[in-house]
Amino acid sequence: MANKKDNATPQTLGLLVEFEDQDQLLKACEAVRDAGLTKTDAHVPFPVHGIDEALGIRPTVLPWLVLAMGLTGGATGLAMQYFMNATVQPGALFSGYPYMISGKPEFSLPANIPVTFELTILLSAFGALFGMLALNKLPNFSNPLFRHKNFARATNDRFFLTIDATDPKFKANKHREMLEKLSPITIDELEADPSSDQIPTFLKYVVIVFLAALTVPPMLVWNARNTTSPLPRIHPIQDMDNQLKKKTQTTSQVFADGRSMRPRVPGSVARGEWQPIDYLTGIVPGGEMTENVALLQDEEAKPADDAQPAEEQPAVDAPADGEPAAAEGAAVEGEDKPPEPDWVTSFPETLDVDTALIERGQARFNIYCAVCHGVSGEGNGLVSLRAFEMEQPTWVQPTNLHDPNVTKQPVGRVFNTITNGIRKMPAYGAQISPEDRWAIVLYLKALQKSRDATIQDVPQIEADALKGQGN
Amino acid sequence: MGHHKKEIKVANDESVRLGEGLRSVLMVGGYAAGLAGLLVALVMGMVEGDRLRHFFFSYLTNYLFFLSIALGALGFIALQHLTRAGWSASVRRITEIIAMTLAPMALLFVPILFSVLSGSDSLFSWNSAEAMEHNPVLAGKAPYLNSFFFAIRAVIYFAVWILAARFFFAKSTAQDESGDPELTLRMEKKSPLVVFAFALTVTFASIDWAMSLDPMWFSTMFGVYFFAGAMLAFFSFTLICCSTLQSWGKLTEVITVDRYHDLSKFIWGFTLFWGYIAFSQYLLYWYGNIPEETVWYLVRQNAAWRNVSLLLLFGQFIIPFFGTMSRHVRRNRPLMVGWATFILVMHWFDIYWLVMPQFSPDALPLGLMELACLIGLGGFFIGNLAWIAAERPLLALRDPRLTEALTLENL
Repeated sequence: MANKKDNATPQTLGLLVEFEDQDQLLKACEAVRDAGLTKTDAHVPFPVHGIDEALGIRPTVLPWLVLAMGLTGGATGLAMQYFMNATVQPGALFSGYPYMISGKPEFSLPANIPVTFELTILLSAFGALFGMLALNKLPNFSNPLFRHKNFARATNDRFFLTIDATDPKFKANKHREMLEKLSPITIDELEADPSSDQIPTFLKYVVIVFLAALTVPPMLVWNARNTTSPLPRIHPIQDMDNQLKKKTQTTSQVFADGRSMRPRVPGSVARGEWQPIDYLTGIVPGGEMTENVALLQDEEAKPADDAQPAEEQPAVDAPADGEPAAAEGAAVEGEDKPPEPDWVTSFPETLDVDTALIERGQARFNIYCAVCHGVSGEGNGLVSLRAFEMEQPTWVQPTNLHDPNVTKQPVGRVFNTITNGIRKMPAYGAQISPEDRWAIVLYLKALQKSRDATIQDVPQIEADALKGQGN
Repeated sequence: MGHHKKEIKVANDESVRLGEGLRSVLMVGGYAAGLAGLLVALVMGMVEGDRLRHFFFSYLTNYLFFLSIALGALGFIALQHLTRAGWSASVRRITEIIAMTLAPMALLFVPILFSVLSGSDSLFSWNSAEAMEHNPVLAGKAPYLNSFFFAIRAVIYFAVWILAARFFFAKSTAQDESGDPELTLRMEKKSPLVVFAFALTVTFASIDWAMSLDPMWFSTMFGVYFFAGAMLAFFSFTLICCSTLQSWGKLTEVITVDRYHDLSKFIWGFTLFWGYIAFSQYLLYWYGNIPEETVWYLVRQNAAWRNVSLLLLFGQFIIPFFGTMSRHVRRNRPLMVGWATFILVMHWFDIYWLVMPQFSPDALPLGLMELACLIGLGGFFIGNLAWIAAERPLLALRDPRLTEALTLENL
């Protein structure tokens, strides 16, 4: 490169040796290499085998650059997907956003391979291209060689060898003599460009204006993010923001029933929601009496006729509701009762019967049942008290759940009562999930047992503690 | 190129021929091992009493292994002529000999064909009318999957392969005598047709002989998968052949380190290609998660087969991918022979992984039966190679591109 202060005086940059054919060039290369020069280069119109060895050029490090870049790309691809799809950092400036696609795990290697692969290729290509440019010191807008009159023939039919004057072992005269023995066409000295290497003034202003203009887009973004606008968003990429779709709770012309939200296909069970039939009904499946649950509710109406205030009028499902009198009449004492279904007598195996479930049952019982049956289950809930206070003529007191008729019922039957209702008690199956219904049954059984419990039912440790308290 | 290069002389003498001694040793040894291996396997198969199922599956595994090498050779020759490649002229005769083994391979296919034609469903479950009837999907495939059409297709495949292999072999050996460059042009002219026929027949053959073992399953990528493995195995086998011949003192001057470098580049490239294809096929089925597609992988992901799947992932892709990446490795002959052997072993497991889970979904049948079949078919394969090589030159002596192949250097 030219010395800035000294542009006017000519300066030798090195030697340019021109040869007729490649064999001469190869010989010259070897001679120069053997002379210990390293800052040398050859310029040939086509790839010449063996020229790297002749010049003593070491193998390029480019493959290692590409490998490193490729591995970096692969690791970046994987890490990026892990960060974005499988993690969330609350409060971080940039946080991941885990989401699930077609039921795959949040971080699943097969799905991440394509992106990893593409990034590996992309960074390898970048490494190859930009690494090559950097190793060749490109882009370079000018080279003193270009001013040599014959040098353009390096792309056509001439072979050139250059020796850089900055080489510590370079001695112009000595090497000139050495090379002249190798029958070159010419040996020329490369001169530095005498013209100024200052950047023209107007270019400086162009660069300043350009850099200033570059700040406009970030400022616009910053402005947009900190102000409000009455205009709708611009959607340069639609991303399915606007699409033909039906919103929830709207009508549809497509389906005969006019509903946009499609109900489940009857009889279908969603994946992961399957439960054994006894879990859902409280009835052991397969028995021939399984379908008699509705009739059973009529049969239960009988005690109401016996003027027991604890019982209610028969009115459960729609047909029974329509003709309560007939149902009452049918259920005369001594008449053939429809046989009861085969009730489940113990809690289903798929249920975890533990303290947590009892506590859950207590909570659900206090929400759904206690308003009528009372918190302790004696049939004196707040609604009932209020109804009596207002002297409602049709109100009958809810069942006392500690009545022997109730306490002896198997768990399946209690579950069924909650699910389908009985007499005036409505069905709760639609509101309470099966597991919560079982929880209520469990709690109710515990509640009933607590009424008749003795000190022997209490675990020894607890009993001791209670004794200590009592005394 | 100039007087800086060492001149390589091509002499039509003992150094380019197998020689009567080596040839008879290889033939006798190969055929004896082949007969013994297959007899042992057959006897073991009869003793096992499962209607020879184990024998046939084991036989098919090893048959497809050696067939894939021979098919790779045929595809390679056609591609070299199609692209007018010069670098490969010095190793092309070896590949032509490998491709010529397709003719005796047709004979070795007869047991499979016979079993299918005799109505046995021990190998292909679609060959049972009962199974086909009760399955509407299979009933729909019945026009394609039936023993008669199966046999017709097999005959067509072998006819195409043998014709193509013979064509290239005959023209190339004729050129040894005449040196007529016109013969090269004729081979180049036919090569597009061969590539076309090769692509179709290899695809359908792999569908018939490997994919239809599970007649319910289907993959549009299967033919490419088989092709990728076949080319990988072929390049590895060729590299081993070259090295073995050189260690016997043949072709020592002719096959340069740059040819090993070239073959190794293809080995690396097809390792990547195999991994790419295998993963593409897997990814689509994994993502789609459609039962009739995933069941094939489910078997190979469960129990014992999971380990073989992992072995392939690492052994046929990741490890050799990095192992054969470097130029220094590729130019190191003993090291590359090691890698090629490793890849061949992995290719055997690849075929094993394709075929065997249909026989035994729960356990790895890896024992004496597999070894006996491998020795049996491998013996015949080696014997055939020696038999075809005969006293012909192992080098396309007067190929117009031979000079290029002898002197070309990788930059």
